[in-house]
Amino acid sequence: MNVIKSFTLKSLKNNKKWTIVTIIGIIISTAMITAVFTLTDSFLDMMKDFGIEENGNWHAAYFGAKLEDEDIIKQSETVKDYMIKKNVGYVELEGSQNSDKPYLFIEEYDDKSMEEFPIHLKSGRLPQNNKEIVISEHIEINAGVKYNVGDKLKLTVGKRMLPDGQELNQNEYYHSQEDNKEIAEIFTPDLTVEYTVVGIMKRPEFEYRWAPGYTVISYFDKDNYSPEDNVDIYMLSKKLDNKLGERFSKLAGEIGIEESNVTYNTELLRYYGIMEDQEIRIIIFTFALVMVLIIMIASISLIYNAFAISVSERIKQLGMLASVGATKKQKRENVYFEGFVVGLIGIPLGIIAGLTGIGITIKLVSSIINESLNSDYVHLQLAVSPTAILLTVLFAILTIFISVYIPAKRASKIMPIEAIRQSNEVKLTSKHVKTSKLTRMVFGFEGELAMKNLKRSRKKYRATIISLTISIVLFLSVATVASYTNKSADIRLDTQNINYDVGIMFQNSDNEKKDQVFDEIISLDLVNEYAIVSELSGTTLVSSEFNPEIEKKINLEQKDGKYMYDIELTSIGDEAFLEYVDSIGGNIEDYNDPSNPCGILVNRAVSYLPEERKYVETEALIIKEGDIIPFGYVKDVKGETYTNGNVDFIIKNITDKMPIGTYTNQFGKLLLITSDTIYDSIVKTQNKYYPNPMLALKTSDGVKLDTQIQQVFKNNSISDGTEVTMFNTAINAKQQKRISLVMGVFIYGFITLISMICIANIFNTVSTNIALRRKEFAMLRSVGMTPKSFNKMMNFESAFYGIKALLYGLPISAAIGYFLYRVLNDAISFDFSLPWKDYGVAIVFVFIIVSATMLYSGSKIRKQNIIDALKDDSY
Amino acid sequence: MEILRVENLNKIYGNGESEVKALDNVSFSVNKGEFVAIIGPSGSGKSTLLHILGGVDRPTSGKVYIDNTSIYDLDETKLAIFRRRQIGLIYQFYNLIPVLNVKENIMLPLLLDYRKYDELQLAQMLDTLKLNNRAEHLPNQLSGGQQQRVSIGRALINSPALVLADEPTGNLDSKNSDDIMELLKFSNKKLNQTLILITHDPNVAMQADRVIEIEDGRISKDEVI
Repeated sequence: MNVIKSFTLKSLKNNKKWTIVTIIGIIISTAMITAVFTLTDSFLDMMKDFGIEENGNWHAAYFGAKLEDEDIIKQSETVKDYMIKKNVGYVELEGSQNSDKPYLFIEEYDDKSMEEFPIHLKSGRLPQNNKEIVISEHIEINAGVKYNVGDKLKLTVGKRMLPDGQELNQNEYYHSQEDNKEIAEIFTPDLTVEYTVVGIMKRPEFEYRWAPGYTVISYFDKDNYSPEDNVDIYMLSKKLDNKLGERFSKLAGEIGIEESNVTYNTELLRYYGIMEDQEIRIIIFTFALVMVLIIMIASISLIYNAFAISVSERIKQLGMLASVGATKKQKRENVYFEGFVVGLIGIPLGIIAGLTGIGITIKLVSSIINESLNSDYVHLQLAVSPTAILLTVLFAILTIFISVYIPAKRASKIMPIEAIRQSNEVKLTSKHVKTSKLTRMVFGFEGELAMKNLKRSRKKYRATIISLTISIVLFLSVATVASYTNKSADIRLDTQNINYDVGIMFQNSDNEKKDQVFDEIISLDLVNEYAIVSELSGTTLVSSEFNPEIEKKINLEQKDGKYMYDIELTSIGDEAFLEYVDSIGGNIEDYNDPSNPCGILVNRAVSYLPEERKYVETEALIIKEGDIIPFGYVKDVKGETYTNGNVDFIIKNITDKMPIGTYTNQFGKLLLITSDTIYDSIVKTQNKYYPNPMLALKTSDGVKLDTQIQQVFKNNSISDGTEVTMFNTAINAKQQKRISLVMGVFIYGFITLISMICIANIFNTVSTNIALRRKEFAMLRSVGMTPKSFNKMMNFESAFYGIKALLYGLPISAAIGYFLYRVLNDAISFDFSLPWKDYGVAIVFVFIIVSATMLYSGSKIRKQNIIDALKDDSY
Repeated sequence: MEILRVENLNKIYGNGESEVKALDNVSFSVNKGEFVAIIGPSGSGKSTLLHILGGVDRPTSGKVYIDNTSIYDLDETKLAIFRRRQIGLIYQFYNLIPVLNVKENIMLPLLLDYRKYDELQLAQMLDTLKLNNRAEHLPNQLSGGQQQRVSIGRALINSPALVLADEPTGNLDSKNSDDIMELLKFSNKKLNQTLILITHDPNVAMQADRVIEIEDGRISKDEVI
């Protein structure tokens, strides 16, 4: 080792306090960068898992390829791996209770497909030949047709055809006779096969909600097919970059597959940053980058100061080196080597600390996160990628390099003469340190001396003030973001406009257990009020005399000089309706005759006025009791809207009271309440299906009621989530709270660590600042400064530091806070305010940290022998 | 009249084998108005003695009485106050406060005491020190001789019981040295200021009333000239 390096190592050992504080700073900042990158990776991994869970683990697919194309694909440079699926066809499912889903859809999967597609067996095993099948449990739950493992089924497989000869696939909904006779689909049988059921799986995520066939999976055996047979080939790409699409298009061209038969797994690819929809990835990366930037600013401020101090402390040493002939380069390397050593210790320790820290954090919060993910197969777990570690090392080295660059340059310029002239920082004149007479009057001589001291070493003083200011600004900005995030979450919860506590809805309106389950739930003690809300959407034309002023601002669509309103015909169940009519002073007799339909108009609406940027609540119509509103039933067929006939409703009552389970409407949409009798007759004449009713409940204890309801589901063997969906404000609020808790853990963890870097910085600058002045302090004591006076002077100095830093830090933070408010306010509007509590915390902390450091360093100096300090010329 | 009495002063640095006896049972006394020069080779313990007399270092054992006060029986605060009122210290390297101007440096003991000062007295002092036109300057704007004059002003401003000077001319050329000695002698003769001074310079020692020689921490010679 050359002399300069051993010199550096020795001075690192001698300045233990400095070395330790600097290394701790590097450890914390590296740990934080590691945490940010690892967390980003973990989240992206989780998202990818979601993508795979939804669509399977593949990147591109060719539909209708030939089996013989396999060889080209196998040898292609583009493809890493591939899997084959074969569409066998549809089978009419006899007894299906879901009229939109009258088929089974059989597909054959090869071994690889079975692995890479999200198939989750509930019982049995996967098929091993093309006579074995796994069926979706949805067939039993949704269609009401029960098959067991071991059942042998003779199935007639065929195609779904449109009258014009076009074949339909799983992507296209069921075209029924009732919808439109002209375009109704026809099932054309091909062959009959006997299958054995070997397993039952969960409904796969990739089966579209509107898919007409329940998924059935068999085994694909190449030997059963000839090379010309059509198969679907799913491929994984070798390289994941933006040219992925190009390469697969090219390969498709070589094979002779039309562009329209090439598909990409965008759900998955977007998390790799491929395919157009990159928004989430960009958000995540921007967020991570901002975090890393904040960490770097704090760290550079710390490490730069540390090295600047180290260089100015060693001016004499460096000057001595120069006097014996050290070159500029050698002097510079002296400082770089110092940076290298602290980095060599700090970065690996930081990475270990970061991984440990974030690993523990993820473990602690994972149960909460996983619960809110609502998936049995996707979890947030620690993902450590070499890229993340490499990036961390890169950023940490960059941080140290930026920090060391200027001090090293300064060191290289130190001349031998400076070793002798030593204390000549800047030529001081009396003007520099002039203080007003008032200072002495108000703060006494100690205060004046403190003020002069600050004014003296402007450079050091400035460095300390800047680091303090940066600390304040960072702390307050992060705290402000946290408070805004909380606030906007609160607002989102508020604006949901829900007037019930629990809502329960069956997936399928004709589930036979529905009435039984609803009755059982209604009879629970905790239910205070309930309504079974069914809604039928329609349109109505309202003549202009009914229409209030507000229309001019909203611009409703007009037809034949009348205004087109949406209308929600709603029934709420006999018992709830009776109560409702009573409560608004109506007469139940008015609503008994289906041949003379009457309704209650809830005459209120909310409008957003974009120019005034606010919501106003108004009457929906200018109307009086006895007026007539026609109700037209709407049917949406192939994108066109038809209005099938009108029923004239007599408005018997007008109110602004909302029955539970209904929502305040936007202006342009009417809420018409009627009895079940009238509602049913209208549904019967106009619509084949019953719209799905929702049971809305009010309760005083949503959490307790939830467990009771779950018990009801269990007793009736109904699975929550698949057969029935439940909304529970109390549970949601609980979950929201837990998510806030997780956010809090991350945000306040971040704030704490950033603050620690800042504290290390302040400690380093202030304590060396004081150590540099020990000779002066000894002098003052020798002239007879008492310990009390000394402390007074130190306190004043800390106070001045704190005040000055706050004077800059508070307005800057407020300005940044306002900027952040403007940015966020575009998404969600709330009034501007700053987190005053955190401002208070910042103010108190600044004073505590500065005076604690000052008193700590001061007390060490006070204990020192005056003569030793006066003689000491190491500084 | 006795102004200083030293009894059995011992100062030991380190312990065990590395133990060094800087002062070995030193006793003597000084009368008011006396001008004493302390001489001796490097490392003989003369600086240690002076610092202990000045109340800025502590003896291992023994007593120091200044104006009948046993200064090492005072607590830290009382000792500091005693120092600023009764002792004037002059160092080889001036040790001025860099942020205070000449006037303020001279008045430092008064300022620390929150005492009113006499403008006339200050003007006279500046006049004596030949620093009239430098009153508002900071130490780094002064030459070495000027800085040492400021530190003498600071030592004398309070008319302390004892002025102690640690090689005050050791860092100055002969012209400046002469000026400084003139000043010190002036304060001794005209103001009857008690003065104890360490020096290497035989010419300086010759100007004193009494010379004490120290060797290996002991008084080896004490003679009145």
